[in-house]
Amino acid sequence: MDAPTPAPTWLDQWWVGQAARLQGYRFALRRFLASPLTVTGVAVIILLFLVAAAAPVLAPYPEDAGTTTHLAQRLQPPSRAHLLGTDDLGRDILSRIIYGTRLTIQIGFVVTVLSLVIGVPIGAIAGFLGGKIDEALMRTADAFQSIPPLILALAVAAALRPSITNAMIAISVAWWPWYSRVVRGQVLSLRERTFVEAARCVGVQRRRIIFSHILPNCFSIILVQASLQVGNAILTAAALSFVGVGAQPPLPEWGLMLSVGRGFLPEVWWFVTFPGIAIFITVLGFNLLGDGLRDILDPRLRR
Amino acid sequence: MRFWSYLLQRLGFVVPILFLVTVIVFVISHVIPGDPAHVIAGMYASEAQVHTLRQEFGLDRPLWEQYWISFRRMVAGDLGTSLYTKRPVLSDLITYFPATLELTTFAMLLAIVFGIPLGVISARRTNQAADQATRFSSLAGLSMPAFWVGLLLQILLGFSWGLLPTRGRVDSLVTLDHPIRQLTGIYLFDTLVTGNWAGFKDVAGHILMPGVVLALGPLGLIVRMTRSSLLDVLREEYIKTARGAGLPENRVIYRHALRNALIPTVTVIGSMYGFLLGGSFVVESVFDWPGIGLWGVNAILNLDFPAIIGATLLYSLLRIVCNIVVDLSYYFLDPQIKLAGKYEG
Repeated sequence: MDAPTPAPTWLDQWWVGQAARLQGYRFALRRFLASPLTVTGVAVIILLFLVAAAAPVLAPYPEDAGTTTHLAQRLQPPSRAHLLGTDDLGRDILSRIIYGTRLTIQIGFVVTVLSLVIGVPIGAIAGFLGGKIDEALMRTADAFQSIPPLILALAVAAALRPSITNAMIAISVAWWPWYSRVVRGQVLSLRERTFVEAARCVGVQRRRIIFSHILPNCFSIILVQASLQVGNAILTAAALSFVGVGAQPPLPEWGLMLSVGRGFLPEVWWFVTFPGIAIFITVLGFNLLGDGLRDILDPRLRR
Repeated sequence: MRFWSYLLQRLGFVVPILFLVTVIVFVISHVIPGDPAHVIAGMYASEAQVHTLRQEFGLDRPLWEQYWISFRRMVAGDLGTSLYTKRPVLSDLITYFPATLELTTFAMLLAIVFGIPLGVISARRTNQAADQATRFSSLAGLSMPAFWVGLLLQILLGFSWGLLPTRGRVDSLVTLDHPIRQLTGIYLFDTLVTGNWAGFKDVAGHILMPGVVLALGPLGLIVRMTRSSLLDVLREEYIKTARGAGLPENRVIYRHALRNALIPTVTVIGSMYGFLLGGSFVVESVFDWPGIGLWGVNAILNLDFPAIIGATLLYSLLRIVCNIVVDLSYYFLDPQIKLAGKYEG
């Protein structure tokens, strides 16, 4: 007589699940490595973080990131002592760009998290509850989205009084509807799935269904959307600073540096050129990553 | 007719959305600044002056009442008086709008005229390298801060080589000899229609740089969109049939494939117009282009709330109109698409 096969324990099940997950990761990794542009994007971002971390070591004149002035050396063209030249107060532009990476990373991170915190719950609630609440929330999102985001951010930043913190808040206020919309769409399709129905049948609370059953399944789509928006956040913050409602002196913010440098054109070309290159490379890095992630995690949207 | 009922339905959506926009804008201008009376009175006003102002502008009344008053005025077309230019906001908007309309439309046309053919060209090279190159350049276009590109172009083409003017819409020396007759306020059109060649040349020179700067982002997106949707269409059966029937490749692409491939591109173009309007704020201030953008940036820097509200409302209205036009264009491009289902999404 054969011994009955033992029922699979929870450990076996866990193990099978992990193997499948690992398979998925491996597949994603292969796709990631197959795209040189995505790898480049990641490399740029890693470099950015390294520069930010090592700023005091890398910057030739660390004290120039702040309020120091060397009026005798103002507006000097690139030379061996100042590789990227000096600004209107004689500060080393390279050092200020290097310290600026810290600010830039902070801006990208804070804006993304803030707009996620506003946008995701609204989208999830709208999608899950449906009906009048959905209608009201989505029409509000429509209204926010019908104001061009840069203009909404400018207006909010101006009203809050110019500062880099307020600029970050302003950009998030302009952006949450994009997250809401994406999350709502995803929730709408997840809502009808069997596992949600099962949870509902055993009497799980609505709030718990939304936040611990549905939202985790929106993770990849949120990640894609967020990574695509980080570059945008940095660009918008730079534009706000350029116009004058973002970072204020003496912060080494790249958009602000461009804005000040503009006053010394056309003779002083280096003052506007290099901070702009820094913005460009950083934003491109995040955009390459976001675009690559979209390909890997959300093939339906592939364009 | 289904078309008209759809149009009516869409227009029906506009009213509540615009209403909500006025609420948002009201909150920004009346709630966020703490005490708008202080803002209006300026830094050096006495407490008594601020108090008078508060009464004069109705700022001492409850918020909903203030909103209702300003809403009734807005509906009547009274957007208040700009604190900075001291003129009615509505007349300022009318004065400065043609310049912005001209610049953004010019940029959009540039992006379309170059973007679609470039997209077709890159779709015909289906190898990995072409894919990566299109992808890279379109992302690069979106990653460049427009104001920075503008400043670099000014340095190179304007200051160093002296090829193009760096600021304004038209040279006053040129208008002295060849005054521009204001027909529409769109200078390129006005000079062309009146046969003012000297004026046209000068105006075209002025619009070129800001136009190119503004077009960069949309250009990248249009190239990419055209390429990918053309590649999708080229896989369809009817294309195989057309090729099998021995039609020349150019005819297959331009007559049969492109027309269908353009539908997603049109969507991008419509949504890009809103992007351009936002971008015009920064680009106009780089090039001193006397449009709503430059005027709006001044309003923002001076905390001129009536003007900020006016510009925001105008731009929202434009953006909503663009979205409706995009939706309606589906109707003409692809009769199979069900209009009614379009809004849910």
